[in-house]
Amino acid sequence: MYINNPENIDTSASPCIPQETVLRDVQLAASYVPFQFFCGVMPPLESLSKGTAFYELYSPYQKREFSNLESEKEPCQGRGNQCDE
Amino acid sequence: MWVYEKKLEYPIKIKNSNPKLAKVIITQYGGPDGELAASIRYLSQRFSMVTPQARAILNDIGTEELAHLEMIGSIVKQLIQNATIDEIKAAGMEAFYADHDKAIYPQSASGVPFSAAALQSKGDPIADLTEDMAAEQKARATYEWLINLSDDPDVIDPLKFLREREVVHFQRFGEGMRIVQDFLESKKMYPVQLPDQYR
Amino acid sequence: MNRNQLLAQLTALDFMAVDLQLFLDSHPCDSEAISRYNDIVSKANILRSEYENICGPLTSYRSTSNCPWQWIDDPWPWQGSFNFKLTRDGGV
Repeated sequence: MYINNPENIDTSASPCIPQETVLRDVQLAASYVPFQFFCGVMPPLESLSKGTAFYELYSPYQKREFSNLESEKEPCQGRGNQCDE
Repeated sequence: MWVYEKKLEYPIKIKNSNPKLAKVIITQYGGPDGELAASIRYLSQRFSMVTPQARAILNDIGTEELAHLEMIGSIVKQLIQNATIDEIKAAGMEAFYADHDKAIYPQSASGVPFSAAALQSKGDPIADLTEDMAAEQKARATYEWLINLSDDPDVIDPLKFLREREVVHFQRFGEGMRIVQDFLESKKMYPVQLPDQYR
Repeated sequence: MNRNQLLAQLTALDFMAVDLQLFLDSHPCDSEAISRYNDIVSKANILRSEYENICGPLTSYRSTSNCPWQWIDDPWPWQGSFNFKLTRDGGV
């Protein structure tokens, strides 16, 4: 989810990137989730409280009053496409 | 086989009755995107997986979902155990009470009993893993709606834990998919070639 | 540690082991992760023995028991009184 430096990793060398960032030789009609790499874990009570031992997989959720995820558009507005000019 | 350890994966300690909330949270017990559906799906699909990693992932996530099933059952039970008849009526929970008293019964939020129609075990590992990734997203979204409906931290904290587990499971199924895809492409039996940049 | 603090630490360590174990299923060659996993399991097992000595068996066919048969004792994990409140510093 994001690049982080857990306490127990020596960062005087290069930082540990906890995932693949480039995928090569990908095929059509196949799905690809990047591999995670091991860069250390959180302390036990923090892991339990957050629901994972890995900083990079932690995805905090804030309660939402409404769950409207769509963008509203007036009819007949816009140029009929989503592209940049 | 399964070993039962006499403790929950995450503690559930709810002080206040809330049958209204219980009525919706039960969907993660017996509903189509709930923990029972997830565990049966994964524990059934595991027999058809084609690499050791995928067999392990299906086996172990299926097992963890049973622990989550237990948590949801505990949440619903603690929410209704001390509710009065008036509270049950005010919550619109009379129908459930008439059929089940304060028991835990696997059904969805709208009262549909648990059904295997919610899941598939296709035998094709790519189809199965794709379904598993979808299942984790559906469960994650359901937990978000349930969190939106709750205002009790004793309930929200375990729901947030369970939601985070879905995020992690999605990542694992995704990695399983990569491994199986590569295996089926490469036609090598063992060991499996992992993609570039795996260190 | 009191019983709740002990249970909180054990729950947390076992949980880390589960999360790490799922990672290892798809990363079987990651020796650093395996080493961390083994470390956590060793620590958890020490706490598990301590917990079982104070509070009784955690499993019904792997843990020893006094007489009368402790396994059936209340509270069971789905009951509120079994559980601790998770705080920053542990179990309360």
